[in-house]
Amino acid sequence: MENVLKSKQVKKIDGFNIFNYLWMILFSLYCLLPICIMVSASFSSDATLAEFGYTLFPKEITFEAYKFVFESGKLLLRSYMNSIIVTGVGTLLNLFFSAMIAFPLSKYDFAYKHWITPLLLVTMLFSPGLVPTYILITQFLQWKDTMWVLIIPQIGTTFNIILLRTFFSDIPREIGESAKIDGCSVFREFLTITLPLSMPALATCSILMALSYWNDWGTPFLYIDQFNTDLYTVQYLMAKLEVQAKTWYENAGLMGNDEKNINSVIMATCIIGTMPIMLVFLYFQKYIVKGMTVGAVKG
Amino acid sequence: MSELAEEKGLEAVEIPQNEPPKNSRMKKKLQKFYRNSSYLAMCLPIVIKTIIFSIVPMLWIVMAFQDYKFPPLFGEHNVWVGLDNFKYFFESGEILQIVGNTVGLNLMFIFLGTPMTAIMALFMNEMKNRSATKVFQTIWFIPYLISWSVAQYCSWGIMESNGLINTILQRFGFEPIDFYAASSTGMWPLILLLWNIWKGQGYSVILDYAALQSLDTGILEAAELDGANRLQRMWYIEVPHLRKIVAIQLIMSMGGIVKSDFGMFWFLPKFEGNSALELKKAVEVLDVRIYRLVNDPRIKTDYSKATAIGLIQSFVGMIIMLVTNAIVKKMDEESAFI
Repeated sequence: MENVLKSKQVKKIDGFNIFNYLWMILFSLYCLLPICIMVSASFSSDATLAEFGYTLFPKEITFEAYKFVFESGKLLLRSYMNSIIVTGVGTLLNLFFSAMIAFPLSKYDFAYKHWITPLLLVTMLFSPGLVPTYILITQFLQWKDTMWVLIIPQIGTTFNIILLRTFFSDIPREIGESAKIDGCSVFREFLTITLPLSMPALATCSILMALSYWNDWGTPFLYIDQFNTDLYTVQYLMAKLEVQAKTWYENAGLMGNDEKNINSVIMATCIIGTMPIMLVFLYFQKYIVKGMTVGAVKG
Repeated sequence: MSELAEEKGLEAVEIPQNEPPKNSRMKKKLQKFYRNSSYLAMCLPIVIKTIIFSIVPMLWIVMAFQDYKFPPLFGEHNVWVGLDNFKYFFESGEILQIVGNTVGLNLMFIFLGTPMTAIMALFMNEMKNRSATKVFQTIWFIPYLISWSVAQYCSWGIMESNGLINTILQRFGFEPIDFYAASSTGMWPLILLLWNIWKGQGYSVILDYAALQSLDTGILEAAELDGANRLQRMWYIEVPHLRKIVAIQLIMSMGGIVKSDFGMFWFLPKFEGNSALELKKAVEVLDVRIYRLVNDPRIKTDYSKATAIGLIQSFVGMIIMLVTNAIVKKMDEESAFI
């Protein structure tokens, strides 16, 4: 027995393993490098950045940039609120309606399945393109500069519906049938049996949806006006940060000031604005991976 | 038994022989509809949403054949121009360069990325230290969670004139490189590849690795007992297991070969900012051009041309996806997507 253990331990430290660790560590450093630079720059001042350039570790640590963002960057708070509203409401609506269509599609006795599935698949295969959608939303629905445009178009993505359908079809059909015999309506079966039974699936799906709502900068980029700061989301603020940071300095009456720290303020805003939520998503990483693999294989 | 016969008899009385069968078929259809009505009601919200946001916009595809100015769509001011917008697409040399950029860069991403991902996942699977793999996975996942609107500032820290690369170059006495100048356009395919790897490679590896986890370890142990070495185990057991997910990834990315990651191509070369015009031309892709035709003050807004380009994009994407799917199906029946 001891011999077997020893031989296994010896086997662990072969050349292949060292090579394996080596490239993994290198790739991890490659992934972390840009973020490390961003963190370091947020703790520097623009003067140091100009003199020594961006470095992996800050030359002299100052909290000036953070202080400035907390004092003058009221817009960040506003965007945070908007992002949370959009992500929260959007994820809830999206999850509920997607589950509601996935439920009949997972049923063997739903007679119109072959009508609805192709409708969903067509949207995946052929999209009319950016401009027709843009015209529909801006000229027909008149949704430019509204909260709706950030929430509604993302509801009921085919990928999520297929994912939920896959999860729902794993529930034994006998449960639903016995409920039906006891006089349970279809909608009640959905609410009181299917949804509670598939909580892990719903968690997986809601994380995916929340991520796509939170990281969506493209929709506000198209449909929210640059000067309509009431509707800024965090991601949109990040996209327009160069302009906004300058505005903050102007509003604070510091534009002519030599000590302005536009670059480090930008970096600090990025850190404050995205890192907390990113840690949350990182915590739920397992769910995201699970959802993506199930969706990709069975889709 | 007798009851059943009675029922049949009653039915025969109720429905006369000479009644047209069409009516009873109608009745059956109505019954079927009634039976499924609650299911249908549950489908309704998303069906309506899909029709409004994915089917109705197809109406505006006719803009591609017009010189669209303002609504209503079929008003007299929107002159029909036939295929002129598509001619612009095929004749102007500028557009050909944009198509070349799009397809060329995408092919590079796909054919370097897909095998690299599979190899990295296979190697990772050889790691027996599970807690270490977990740490690595978490680190690799971070860039996937950062959107391009934030990642652009990371790219400043590396590629600006006082960025990390130039700081290092200057310390060792080399000339600094201006990555955003006209002279460095040749470097940009490599730069985009490196950023593309940074953003998505770790995530794809994690997905492939997760697929490998579903492999029955008993098979691997049996192979090890039979004297298969590490390479043989990878090649004969793990690679065939990965084939399905890699095939689907390939089909999907081939379908997107005329589309690109808009954020990367918009933010990294500073399309809004002050990078050189030559650079902007060298990295412009179809999605960027469509966006600019809709929403860029520097060039004339032209919904019609943008629609035409988008239409070609969707159409070509669909065809390539179906063709790739057919090829994959011919090679391996099970791996196909549709």
